Amino acid sequence: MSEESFLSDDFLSQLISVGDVDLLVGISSHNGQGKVGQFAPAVEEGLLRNFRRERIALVHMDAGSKNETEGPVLTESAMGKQGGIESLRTLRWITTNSETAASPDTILRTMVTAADLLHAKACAVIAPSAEGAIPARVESLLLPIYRENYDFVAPLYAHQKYDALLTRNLLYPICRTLYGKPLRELRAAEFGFSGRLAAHCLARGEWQNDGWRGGAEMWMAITAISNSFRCAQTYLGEKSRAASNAGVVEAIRRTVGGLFWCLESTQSFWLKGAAAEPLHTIGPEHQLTNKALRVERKKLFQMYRSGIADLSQILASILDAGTCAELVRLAALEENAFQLSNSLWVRTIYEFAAAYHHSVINRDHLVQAFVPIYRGRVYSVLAEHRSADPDEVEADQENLCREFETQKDFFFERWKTKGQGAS
Amino acid sequence: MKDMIVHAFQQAYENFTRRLAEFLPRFLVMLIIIAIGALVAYVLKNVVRAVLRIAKVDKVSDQAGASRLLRKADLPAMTELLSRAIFWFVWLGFIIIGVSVLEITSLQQQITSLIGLLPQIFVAFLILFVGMLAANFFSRAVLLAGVNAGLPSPRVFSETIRFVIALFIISMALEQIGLGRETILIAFSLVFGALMMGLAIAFGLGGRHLARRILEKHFVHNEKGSEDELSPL
Repeated sequence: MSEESFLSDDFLSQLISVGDVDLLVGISSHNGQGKVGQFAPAVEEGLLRNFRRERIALVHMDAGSKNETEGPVLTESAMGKQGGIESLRTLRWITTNSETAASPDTILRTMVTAADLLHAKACAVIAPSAEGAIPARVESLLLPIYRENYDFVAPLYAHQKYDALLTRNLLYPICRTLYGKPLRELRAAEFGFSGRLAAHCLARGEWQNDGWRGGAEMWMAITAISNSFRCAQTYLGEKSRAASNAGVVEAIRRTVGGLFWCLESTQSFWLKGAAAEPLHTIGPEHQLTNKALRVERKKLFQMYRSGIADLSQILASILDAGTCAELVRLAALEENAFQLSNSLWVRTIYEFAAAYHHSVINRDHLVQAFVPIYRGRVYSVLAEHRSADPDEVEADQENLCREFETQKDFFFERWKTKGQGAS
Repeated sequence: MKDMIVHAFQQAYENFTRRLAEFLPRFLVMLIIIAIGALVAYVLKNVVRAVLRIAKVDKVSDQAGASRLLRKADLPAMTELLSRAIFWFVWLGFIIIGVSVLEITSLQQQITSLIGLLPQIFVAFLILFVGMLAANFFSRAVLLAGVNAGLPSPRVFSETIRFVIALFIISMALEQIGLGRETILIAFSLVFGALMMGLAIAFGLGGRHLARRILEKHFVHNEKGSEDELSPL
């Protein structure tokens, strides 16, 4: 299927009527919900503040809409005149509706295709549920690309110290260790990319593959890193908890499955041993908050314990006998004695990634079998950081990254030669 | 009297030598056919094994969970199993052809009926194998979904799914080879019906509190909202 035929006729004709643009911004919503109505003027304001002389197109992708083509964005937006600033050139809204909720992959594919057709120089995807200063977010994502020639700009958020544990315990250390770039948010709903990167991604055949399943943004970030595109990250403030509260199981299926798939598709890059390089960061490099959260830790431990017991046979076919035995031993401990150490966590992740590569069992099943172990790790981190301040948490993050680095050779070996598993 | 006895012996000897003279060449032909069959089967086995290795059938078998089933049953890997099956299938064909050269009527009838049954037996084995793979896949999917959703006793659900699918495919396989179709159908209906009814009663009476908890968890919003849900990303 060509990229043009992937888009609806109506959307294509809207794109054609716009012509070439300098900037392209995408916003997705479900049945016009959220704050898209109030959100659109703020996005326009962010654009007009810095890009009055540029040609701009804004794409609103609404899923499950019962409205006509002109959804909430077009009716409530002031169409190119915000905060007393007026566009000197074109600012056009394009709306596309679909009956079913569009996956992040479809949203990104739509954006990349539109960027290529409109010859956009800089593009950004903004999450409609984003909180805080929207105009500043738009600026932060687009400016480095448009003015400083960066190709990919990832967001950098402030998190509560217990939040984003999958990002901080898996995605960030893996990206730093294997790809050599300390990219904090490998998978985010907001990011910016250049027209060059869009064209590069579009030319690749991965869109037809469902291997990444919901991890297209992560694939784009990894593609940018592994193909020497200029990358940066920019601080966007606090991440909306509502926006990121996806179920753990689905988040792991998409994130861990997508990451393992990306590891496989870029193995020729990282198996060479990518050298660690600094990443241009705009704003603070990390920010954790101590905001109080009430978390039911006991349930996490129970789910780890029962999960390890019920999935012992499956885990035995994925992990080495020693790793498996250690996880089983931990499950037998009392709650207060339980600790899933950095060393065991890293070894388990590496063994899972290698088992995914060697397809020891159905890949989706393999990723799902990781969920109880993640719960155990979350329990362990919560217990460990109960009274830790953000600086101590960040110091532990560094220790974890060092552990990933230490066990890298073991991972390379496991990746290249199929292990026997515990069974 | 003596002449008669001698004549009878002579007759028997002549019959024996005549039959032996008729039988021996056929027996020899049979042995040659079987030997050629063994050779052809051996070559085919190696060809099939090489093709399956190139096609990475063992990897597919690993992914589908078939290798684990085979290991459990003390069987060799998929490539080896299929190539050995081809060897025996081809050699058995040659043995049957060889035996038919002997022209032993009763044996020929048995062989004919066995040959007639071979395709059905093969299809039945295929049904069993594919069905076992499906049972393994679905029971694992149910187990993982149950464990990750925090359902109580996910193994019971998983093994029930495996049992129901296994029951279904065994009845299909037996029906394929035509073994007591009606009996199997009735037995299957009875077992399946009893199982479902048993589960319904067990869940309805014994597990009504559990059912209530599960339904409440999914359909009634927790108004307390005392716990924050951690965001993984």
